[in-house]
Amino acid sequence: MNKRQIPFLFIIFVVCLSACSGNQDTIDDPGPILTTQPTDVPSTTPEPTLTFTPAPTFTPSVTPIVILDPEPIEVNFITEDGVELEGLYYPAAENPAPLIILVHWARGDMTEWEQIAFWLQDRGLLVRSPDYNNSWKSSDWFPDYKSEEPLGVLVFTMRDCQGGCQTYSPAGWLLDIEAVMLKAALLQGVDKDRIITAGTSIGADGALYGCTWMNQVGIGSCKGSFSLSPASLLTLPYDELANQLIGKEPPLPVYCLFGLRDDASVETCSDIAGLIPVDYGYIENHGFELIQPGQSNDPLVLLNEFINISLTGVGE
Amino acid sequence: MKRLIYALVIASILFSFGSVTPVKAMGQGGGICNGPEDVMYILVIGTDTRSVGYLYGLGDSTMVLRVDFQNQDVSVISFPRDLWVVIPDVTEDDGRTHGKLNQAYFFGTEGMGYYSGEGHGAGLMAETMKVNWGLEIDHYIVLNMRTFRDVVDALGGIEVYNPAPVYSFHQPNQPKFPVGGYFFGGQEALMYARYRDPNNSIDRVDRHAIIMKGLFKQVFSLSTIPKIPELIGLYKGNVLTDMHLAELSQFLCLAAQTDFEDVQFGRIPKDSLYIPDWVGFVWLEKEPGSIETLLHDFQDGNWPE
Repeated sequence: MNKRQIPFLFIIFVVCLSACSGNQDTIDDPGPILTTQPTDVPSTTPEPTLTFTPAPTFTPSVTPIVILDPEPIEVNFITEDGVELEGLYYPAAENPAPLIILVHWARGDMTEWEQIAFWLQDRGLLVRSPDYNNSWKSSDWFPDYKSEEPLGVLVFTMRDCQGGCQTYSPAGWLLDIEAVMLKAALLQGVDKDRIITAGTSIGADGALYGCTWMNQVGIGSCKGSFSLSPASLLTLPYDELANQLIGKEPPLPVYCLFGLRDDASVETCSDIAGLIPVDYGYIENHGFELIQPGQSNDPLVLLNEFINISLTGVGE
Repeated sequence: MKRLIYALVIASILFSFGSVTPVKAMGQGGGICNGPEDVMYILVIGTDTRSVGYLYGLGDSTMVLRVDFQNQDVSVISFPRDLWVVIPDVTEDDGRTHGKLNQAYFFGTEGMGYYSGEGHGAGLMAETMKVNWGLEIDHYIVLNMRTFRDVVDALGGIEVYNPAPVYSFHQPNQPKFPVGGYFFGGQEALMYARYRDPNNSIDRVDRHAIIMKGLFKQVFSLSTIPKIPELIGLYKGNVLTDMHLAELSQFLCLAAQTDFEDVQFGRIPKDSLYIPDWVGFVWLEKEPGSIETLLHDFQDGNWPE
């Protein structure tokens, strides 16, 4: 390789870098017109100025790597039956990153997840807030989130559920879940082949359904589901759905947590054969209310463990 | 340009999904709310047991729900507890072949143990309906008085309208429940449902249907909907049922989508029965076969209208 080839190759390299690793705008912009002059060319020997213009038709083969700001981004999407839903996407610190979809219960909407979403996103937005009755809405008692890998978070509000569900619509909520799984697969910065779900109460059943649905339809790959107080509440048998994940090779994790006086959840979780931890001595609560400090098995520690196992196959 | 490429990307993805039919979980029927294609008959029994559990007890209130997931149709019929019926499968243990309808439940309870089939009392009651009228039951739900009371309280009470005065034996001239609207807590609802009225202008069967309407209305009220999952969790273990949780949720889903005014309530008509003046005596079918004919209409979806 002679000396004159080195600057030329360097330019090509720089152009490739700018094309392949630039921000999203490089997808459709023609790109910067790079004009330079090699420094080792004697000025006395006029050489044509080297101008490299990337072909306008250039399309990167992979999604450009862009680190989105940590602030949650509003997302909107439409269900199969035409209902418009709103959600919030908390981007990960790396890109593309796995994503967890969090599904709420009937007594609230996506805002129930806010503090937990910040905690999982782990990008500095979690403010260890004062104690709000030691609930899942306060974060001063949250354990440290431990993961080697950044994680994106997506929450959304199911139909007629702003501030708590006003209609009882299990069949409609299933369509909402399908729609959010589709949306998740299309989100910028999401590795659609590494999606996981979690939910409470109706959201627990919804999250599990979404995971199996995504794998069946093939729009992406869901790696496991975490349930707080499921009870086949969305017209589909939880055990059959769970077995679709557990029965894979290797098995995908399904965590099923329940309150001791919650007969339906006890029955549901007990139906699962080969489930990774099943029996916890939680107090007499349901759904989000299981997420409280002072439990012998902290649900948030378990959620953290579930995420690590689902995405890496290895626990903490 | 940016929009165009974005649109193309989205379009190509959507196009690739276009041929994909949304997948339902396996084993689900094609009806609304993932319910079965065939009409489902659910036997609902309220027992007269005050204590916890279901070891013994008479079938104080007996209803059958006809649930059609294909046509989004729910109808309910109530049966009088004193109706004289053939009770199958108990001869070997008890020597009898007939009894009141409420005894069909009692003889099958775990405590009595006269019935060897599945479902104990509810199983024998279902068998009784099949033998007498050809009505085949798919599922049952049994609740005792304590659970009924607790459920009504957990719902925050129920609204009912009492269309005729209900008198008591002790004060036959002063109605215990005058005509009008009421908001009952669990204990009051129980009392209203079980009252023995000497005038019998609106008997227990009618009042059970009224209570049932009040329950339906309250379950799907705005204040209760967010609590439905929690209530299922709290009371699932306190009722006897052979329904899987998913089947319960299919039914709740259908009921929530159904206009309450469209739910048809009926009862075995009084004029088709011989009803003695003495409370507690058996009620007889005036024309043998008339109830069976009525129940065929019920199964065909033609009655109650």
